Amino acid sequence: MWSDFCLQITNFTMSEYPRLYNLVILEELGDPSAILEVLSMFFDSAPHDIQELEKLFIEKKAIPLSQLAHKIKTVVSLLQSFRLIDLLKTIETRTKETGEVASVANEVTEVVSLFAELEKQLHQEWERLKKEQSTHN
Amino acid sequence: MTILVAEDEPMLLKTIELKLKKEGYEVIATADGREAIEKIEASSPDMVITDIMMPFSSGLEIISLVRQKIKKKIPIIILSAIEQEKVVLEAFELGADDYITKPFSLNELTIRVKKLMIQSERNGQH
Repeated sequence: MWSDFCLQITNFTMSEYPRLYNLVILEELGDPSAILEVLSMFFDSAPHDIQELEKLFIEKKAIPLSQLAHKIKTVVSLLQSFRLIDLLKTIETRTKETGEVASVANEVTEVVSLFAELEKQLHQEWERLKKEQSTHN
Repeated sequence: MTILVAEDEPMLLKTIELKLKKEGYEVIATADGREAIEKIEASSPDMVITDIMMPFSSGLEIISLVRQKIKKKIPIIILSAIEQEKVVLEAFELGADDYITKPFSLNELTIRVKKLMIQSERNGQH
């Protein structure tokens, strides 16, 4: 059936490529060039923060890990990336409360893989906004 | 009108700065509490917007200092991810005028800024 086929296509698209962000907050800046400026800051700093998060986890530094998770949470909150917000919140609170990192191993792994996907999606968004901006100019 | 914004996450600081500048405010942006205190004392801004968890001096320390040392009643807005009632109450007790929980809408922040500026003008602070 055609409808079943369409449903399969939709499900495939949604499960393979769920959108991990929403620019609704940044759109309140009212200016695509301002959004691009903020996104460029994200590309410059966030990947280093994620590398550092992994490093702190491997080195079992619970309190710095908690503090860094809090910092990254602020960034992904701006992008309304809700799954990442939840994971980082768990890492932040659990490591702070327990003083150890072992209990957040799954969360750290998921943050790293979701972040890679988020970065990829935002690069596509960046290209779209750049194109839109050059069309308007 | 000049607003000092203290926030240690650079991307959020830039976002707030861009929004407030678009609304016509002059912005002094700073990423740590100690520098915020120095700049408040030096430039006496019309409003302070501050995070709580920051390097060197916290947002709560900034409120205390502003209320103790500066005669002019500068409106202070707290921006924080901390939702615990204890912290919110402490901020208000120290003299904060408003408390916004992260993540927040930039339009909501702007409206709250405008409202406080109007109140401040009515009270003859400018």
